Amino acid sequence: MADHTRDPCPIVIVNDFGGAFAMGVIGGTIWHGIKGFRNSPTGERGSGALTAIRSRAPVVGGNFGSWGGVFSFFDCSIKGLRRKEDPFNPIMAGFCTGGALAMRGGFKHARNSAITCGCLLAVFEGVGMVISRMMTPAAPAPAVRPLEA
Amino acid sequence: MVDEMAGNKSSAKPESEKSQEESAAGEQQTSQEGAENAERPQYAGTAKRADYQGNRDRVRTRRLLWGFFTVSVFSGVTTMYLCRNWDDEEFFAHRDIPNGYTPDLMYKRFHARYDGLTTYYAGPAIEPELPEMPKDDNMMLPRYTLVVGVEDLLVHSEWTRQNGWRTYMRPGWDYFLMYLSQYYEIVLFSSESVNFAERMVMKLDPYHAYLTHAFFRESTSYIDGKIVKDITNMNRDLGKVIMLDVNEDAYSKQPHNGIPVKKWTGDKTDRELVKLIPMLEYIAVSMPKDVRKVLQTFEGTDDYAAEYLRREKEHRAKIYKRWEEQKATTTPLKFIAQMFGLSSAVSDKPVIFQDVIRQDGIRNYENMKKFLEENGEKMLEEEKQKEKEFLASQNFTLGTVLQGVVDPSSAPGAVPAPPTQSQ
Repeated sequence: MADHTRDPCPIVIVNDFGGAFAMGVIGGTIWHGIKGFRNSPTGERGSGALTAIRSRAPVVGGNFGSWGGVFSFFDCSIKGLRRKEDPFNPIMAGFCTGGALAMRGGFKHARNSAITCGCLLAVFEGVGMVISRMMTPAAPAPAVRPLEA
Repeated sequence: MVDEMAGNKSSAKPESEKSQEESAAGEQQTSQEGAENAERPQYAGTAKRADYQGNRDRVRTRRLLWGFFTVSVFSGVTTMYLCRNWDDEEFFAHRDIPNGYTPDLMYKRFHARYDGLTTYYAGPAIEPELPEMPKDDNMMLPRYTLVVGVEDLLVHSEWTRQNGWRTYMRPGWDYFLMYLSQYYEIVLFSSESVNFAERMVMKLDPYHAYLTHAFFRESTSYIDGKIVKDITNMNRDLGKVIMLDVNEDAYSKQPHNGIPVKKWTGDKTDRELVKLIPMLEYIAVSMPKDVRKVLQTFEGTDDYAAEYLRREKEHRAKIYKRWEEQKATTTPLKFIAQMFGLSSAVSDKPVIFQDVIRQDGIRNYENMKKFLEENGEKMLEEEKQKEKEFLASQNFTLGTVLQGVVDPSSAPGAVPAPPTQSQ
């Protein structure tokens, strides 16, 4: 039994990749649209923005997508190996993802990137835990009515 | 070929190739090195020394030192702060560790405070606390509490590519809950969060007839990576609480209160729940002072229910054997009774205690089922009506907004459930 809003493990990698790609494309469209608009001379602002979006937004989408996919892949692998579900899974997955994606920059770069990503994910998890704790109502309405004689 | 190249322009070649040549033409080694320096005089003496520090290096070192200094000061101050004497409230919570600034006590206070940081988040957000058990002079209400796990015990969720997630109910779940509700105060304890599992609880008891309370993930403790359902503060005598769970971690805090149940993974022929009924029924009716003493006699067997059935069978066999013996022997009294045509006192197979209570139990169960069949619809209608009235009685604007936006019939009582079907 698990969270029913998400699919189970192997298939969730595809979902995460797609979700992250879509997020990147949308964000990239906004970002590079504005950037292309501002950087074009008057009169060519519209077309400049479009060109920038066309050439740059898919790249941002790809970057986001690869991050999401690799993260999900590591998350699933770690879950499978540890047979446990706790906040350390995403932290370790973030560490591995950061390292894997920065591997082409050499060992030093990969190490630094891995540590940064791990810390980032740890902060996310911690803040998420604190928030969920604060959001929990002190005394919820009883789900079921008390026993009647 | 190699020899020829090595002689001519060795200095222009990368290191790796050069080492190959060296092995191939070892005798030329010395002359090569000499040639290298001679060919590039402009670089002579310009090599940086190994300990040379540029400005960037110096800045970096300084920053590193400052960073190290700041971190150590910060952690030192934090440690000292955690070591300080107890505040007023803390003082009463930690009576075992007195105030005072000896290294030992300081370390103990530090440890206690540091643990407190994490245990706050690992402990239950909502204490699993039941209201007082209703006063009962006629001994009609159940006196024992049954804490039942939900996942893989009563329901099982499965994911398929075609249908996504689906939740199935274990065979016999309705009989199990309804039958035992006459003997126990049944409390569900799910290990999933309330947002997700509440819908399942609604499905399990739409009439609010046989479940008294439900606890969720928010009420569990997280100890050593395991989800533990700690019932210490449940406001019930622990000698009168039985926990059913598929995962023994769940009752690891009260190991003698737990009955392990086999996980259900969707098998339609599963009969585990029904198999458990005789045992629980017998325990409730025989009213032991401490159920832990009873359950301890089962410890070591992997299937409590089967062990109970074995015991009951043994007991029954013993009684029947005695009865057979009595039938076989003809006492003078019996002989006289037979002569006058009176039926023998031992003509029928004897009934044992368990048979009697089972008869009663089944009769009660059937009455209850009939009542729900007749009045269930009406009860659901009434509840919907009540909710409507409640929403209408909300005077402030949010109430009216909700009424307009949310159909009251889909409010809490009938939250859209995941596709659930009983098998």
